[in-house]
Amino acid sequence: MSFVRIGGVFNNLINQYKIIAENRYGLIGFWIVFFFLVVALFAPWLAPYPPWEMLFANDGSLASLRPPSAEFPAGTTHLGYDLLSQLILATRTTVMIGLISGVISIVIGANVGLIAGYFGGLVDEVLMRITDILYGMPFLPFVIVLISLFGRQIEYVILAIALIVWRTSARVIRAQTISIKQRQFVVAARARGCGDFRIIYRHILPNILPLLLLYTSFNIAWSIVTEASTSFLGFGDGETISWGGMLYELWLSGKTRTAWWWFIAPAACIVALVTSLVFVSRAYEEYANPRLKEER
Amino acid sequence: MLLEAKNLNVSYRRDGKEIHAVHDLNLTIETNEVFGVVGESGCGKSTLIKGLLRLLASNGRIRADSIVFDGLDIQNMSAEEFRSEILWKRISLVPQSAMNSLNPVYKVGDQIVEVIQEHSGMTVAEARIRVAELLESVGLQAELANSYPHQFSGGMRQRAMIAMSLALNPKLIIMDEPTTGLDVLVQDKILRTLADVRHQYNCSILLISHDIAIMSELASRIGVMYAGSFVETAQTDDIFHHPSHPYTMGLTNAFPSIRDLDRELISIPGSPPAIDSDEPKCWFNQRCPFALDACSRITPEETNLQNSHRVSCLRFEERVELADKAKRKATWIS
Repeated sequence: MSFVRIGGVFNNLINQYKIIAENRYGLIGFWIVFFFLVVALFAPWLAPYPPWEMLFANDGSLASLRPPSAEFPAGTTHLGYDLLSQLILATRTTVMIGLISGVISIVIGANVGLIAGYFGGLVDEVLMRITDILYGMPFLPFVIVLISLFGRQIEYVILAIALIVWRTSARVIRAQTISIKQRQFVVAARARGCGDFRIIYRHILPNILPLLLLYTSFNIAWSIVTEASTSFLGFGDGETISWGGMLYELWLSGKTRTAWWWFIAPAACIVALVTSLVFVSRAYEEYANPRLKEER
Repeated sequence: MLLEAKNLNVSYRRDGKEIHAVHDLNLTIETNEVFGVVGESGCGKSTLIKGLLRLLASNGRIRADSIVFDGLDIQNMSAEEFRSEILWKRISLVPQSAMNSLNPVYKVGDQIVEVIQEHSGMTVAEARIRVAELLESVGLQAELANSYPHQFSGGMRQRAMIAMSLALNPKLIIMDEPTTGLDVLVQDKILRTLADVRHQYNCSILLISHDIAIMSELASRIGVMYAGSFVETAQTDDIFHHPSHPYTMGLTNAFPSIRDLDRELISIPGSPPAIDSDEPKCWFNQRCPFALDACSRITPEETNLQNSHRVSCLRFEERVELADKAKRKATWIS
């Protein structure tokens, strides 16, 4: 039985890949995301040096602010830290924060949307007004306030991001739920004696799956951007290294104008990962709404 | 007697007003019979089913003196008990546009397995064997259980829904417009399948349709519904040969007969009223060519003629003359 299940999951993954590969950009995006995932997974073994170790050149002098070279492929910071090692280890933090807050936020958003849309009435009213209030909050300041309230450990950063990113997905999924619940097969399921939650999770949820996956990748992308922004502003977890945090240290060092390599590498990583996620979500969007498909 | 509902009322609340969709309706269904309900659109046929199965929208309300099914008082049953003991186990439904009633993301067989498991202790393997039997009894190959609904034609989906309704050997199957949207050949095959499975599974059918031809083929008794209640119920033959209510006469006029191809079809002018008051009257009086002054003041009593032929009309004693007049077009147009 369990082998059958694992086989089913594997088939499902292959199906997901097929959906993404339908779209050229989706395919590129997928492999870039995959690359970052592998780097994140094996980061401690891939990084040549610890992130905060002062490195010395062969002549005994501190390897401070070295541009990219054979010895230090991504250059070094003013304190002689190896930027490549920092980048690799930061990938792990960023991917972790992005995945976890992205997934938490889609779980919150999907449930709020499904329950509000399905039950309607007072439940809908209350849940959607809460969503509206969250919409009224300025995004970044809200996250910063939450982080300062909870503390700056990485768990709290993840939580703070997840607590605000879910709002868009909740609205969209509610709208879709309202449309699906009018369909005849939902009425038929109720006539068979299916309970409300069975209808929601077994009959409606699978029908909005493409939309759900689209918003999952959106939420992950948003979480990554948010984490980078908060870290850049100095509200990240000082104990773990992240791409935003690297930019923050550059800012603190005052070498922004000269150390171009220090700026380009983390910035490029953020842009590459977020863009790839948007490409992937674009592929799902086409699947969910075939009219968007480019003419071929 | 399998199902008996006395004085059944279903109303919808709208802008502070109660609109009656089913109004003082008396329904009896015998064990092992096909009871047909005919009536034009908007007369409350579908609301009747929704009320009986407790599928009303949140603004709908059902009231009755009593509803007894198979010796059980289903009116005062708790929602939970109704769901677990009555729905599908004893009363199942083939919904209107049954073709769209299958969930597009699951295989047809799995959906029937789900129903069986929800209501009985069968294992998945046992349920699969049952599904194969069910599909074969409605004329589908057992292997089709592994197909998705979109791989089926309309008629096949209809058959699959019928198979699903039979899954737990219910005593009553409610079929809401079971052949609407199918071409005539498929309609005919479905009707035959229905007749077959009814004998095989020994159940009663409550058949809802506006198509009187389907009724004559399948139903043993017919109730003619107008403005939320039955104006006439009788054996199928009596409905066609001795219609006693002016509305029934009008309805039979509106359908072609194969024995009398030259007959002109006559439709009843006007449309069903919205029942928004409790004042006593015959709700058909506005459209009735034989209406008397009294018809707008008195609610006609249900009268038992003979052979369980019941009619609610003040002029029931003149039914033979009225039926003759009703065959003339001039009667309806003046």
